[in-house]
Amino acid sequence: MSTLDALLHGFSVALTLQNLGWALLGVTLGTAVGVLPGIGPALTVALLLPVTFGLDPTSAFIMFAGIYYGGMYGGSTASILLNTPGESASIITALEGNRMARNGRAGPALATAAIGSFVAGTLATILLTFLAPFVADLGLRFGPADYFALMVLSFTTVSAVLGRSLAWGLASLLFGMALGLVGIDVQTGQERFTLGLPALLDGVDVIVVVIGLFAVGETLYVASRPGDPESVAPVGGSLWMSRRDWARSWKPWLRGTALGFPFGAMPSGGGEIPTFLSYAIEKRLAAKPDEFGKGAIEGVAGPEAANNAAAAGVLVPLLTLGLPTSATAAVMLAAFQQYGLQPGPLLFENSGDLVWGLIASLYIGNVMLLALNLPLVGLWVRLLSIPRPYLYGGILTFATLGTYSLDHSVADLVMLYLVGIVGFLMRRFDIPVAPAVIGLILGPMAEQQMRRALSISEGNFSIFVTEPIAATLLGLAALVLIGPAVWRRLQVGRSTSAS
Amino acid sequence: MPNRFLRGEVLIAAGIVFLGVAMAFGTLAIPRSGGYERIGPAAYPWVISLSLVIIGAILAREALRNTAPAVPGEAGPVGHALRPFALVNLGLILHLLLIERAGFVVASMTLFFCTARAMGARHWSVTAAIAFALSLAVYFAFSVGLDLALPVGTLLERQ
Repeated sequence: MSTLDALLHGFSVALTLQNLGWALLGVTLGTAVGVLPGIGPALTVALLLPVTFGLDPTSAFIMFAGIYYGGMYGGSTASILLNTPGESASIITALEGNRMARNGRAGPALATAAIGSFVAGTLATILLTFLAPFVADLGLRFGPADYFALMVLSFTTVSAVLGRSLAWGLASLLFGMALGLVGIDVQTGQERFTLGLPALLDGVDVIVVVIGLFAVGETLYVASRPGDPESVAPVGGSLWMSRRDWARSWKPWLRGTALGFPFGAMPSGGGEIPTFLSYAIEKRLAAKPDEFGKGAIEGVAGPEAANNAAAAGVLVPLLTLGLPTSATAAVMLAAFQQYGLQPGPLLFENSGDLVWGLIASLYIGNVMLLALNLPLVGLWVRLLSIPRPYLYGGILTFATLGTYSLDHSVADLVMLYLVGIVGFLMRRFDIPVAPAVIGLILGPMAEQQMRRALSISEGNFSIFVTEPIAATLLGLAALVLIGPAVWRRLQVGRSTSAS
Repeated sequence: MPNRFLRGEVLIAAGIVFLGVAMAFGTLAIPRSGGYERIGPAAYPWVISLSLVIIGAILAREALRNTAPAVPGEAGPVGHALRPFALVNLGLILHLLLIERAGFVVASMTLFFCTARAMGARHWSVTAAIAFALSLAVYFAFSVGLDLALPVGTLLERQ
């Protein structure tokens, strides 16, 4: 079956009335949580997992994908009007976007963000459509040693890219991997780190950790810093972009897409970096660079497109190799596992309906999101005026509810609280949270692949250097780990020898 | 020590080293038998616990030498608010103690009330009313609409 046939089949799945309804629900929820401070798509999907267990997996994933894309759209609205980026990928948008809003140009800023997100989201979804089957084919040729090497590579890139330094990123990753060790070893039935507690036999639930880090940790952090009252910029100016705005926006959209997609698709930690790069490039290419910092529309158009394209890119390794490179992707992987599905090359063969229905729904979701975010922007602005005390009260109510309904166990609530304290400390000391989530879910998988590879080679570690794919990937990982330090040494050496 | 932030970083780094050491002791308790792969269930935990110790030591050294990259917006003494922070903690602890004894509605109400008050909700009667209404609405939506049983509370059941 060719890719186009598969995609058409996907549309026949996604265009049923029922699945359109789930997609609409997903994008609406996603936009709402993107706009609201304190919750994002990762937390939302985690909270919904217990409720959606009875749902048909295809419908559930169509909704999750809607939440994922919707969060990206909603995040820009919060950045522009409130100057508080909902998630890290829209930090850059706030720079110029909030300036524009303060200058009475909130309308065009919101419009270029939404239309740019639509253009980038759609183009990147097309790229995803045609790249994914190809990568899945490649993935079929991967052996356990290659998979292990791929995971090691994404461990190192995720730690290096997210957060302020490689060392703190690694600390976060290792914390997640340590939590992932708790429970019964699948291969031998051996108990590990259970402290004699029966509640720990099944291991630490990824969902509980995500809710703890993102909801409880965040609320504790906000409570600990009584803050400056936020002010919402009024949606001034026409929502329509002038001819000049269009002329200044379309190239940044395309460049942002070209930057964002590859960064998302490579195991390199998602959407942040391409937004920074896009901002820098637009500033350099702009006709009036001095407008940057005072509300240049290019500085909204480029990074917004980059962040949406990266969001689509992240789905490539997730669906084709089972490799999550962002917190939301990690939660989606947990969702797949809850349904007994393992993303990877075989998913395309065994669950074609689901995969292609999901991909088709991304096109549909983008159209829905454009409609939801432009004409209805006033509705989302009103969400911003929910009083903070009730918002956070509600977040914790649903966080504890979601955790408790997983397994009806108070032990999970205790775990939620403890992880929340850790999350608070991580937030307080600016330690990235996403590597911990990725380490928790990917750590046990990496261990299994490593042991599988070693049992093939009968305990001979040389398998990791004699297999060409594995050796290349491990080499790249080593480069990410020690490359920057070596480079710095060389620079220092050169400058001292020169002087 | 120049500021509280760095002192905190040193403590966290020490915590990471401690976690690594504790895990190493835990790993000693795992039998080392392996199958075909020859390495068994203890090998991977060794890698992680030793890495934790190393990374913790590197971070502690960075923080002590104050060469760690500066954190934007964290300069100067950080305003701290112990009372609201403690109140959210209290809410979470009361919630997990109450949920099976007093039931979902009471536990959730308490949590919502504590959190909202911590975040600056002014009128306690209005806050309590909203807490009650939300908890009750969620309870009925879940138990009737979604057929998920939420605890009524053993205290109520006994009567």
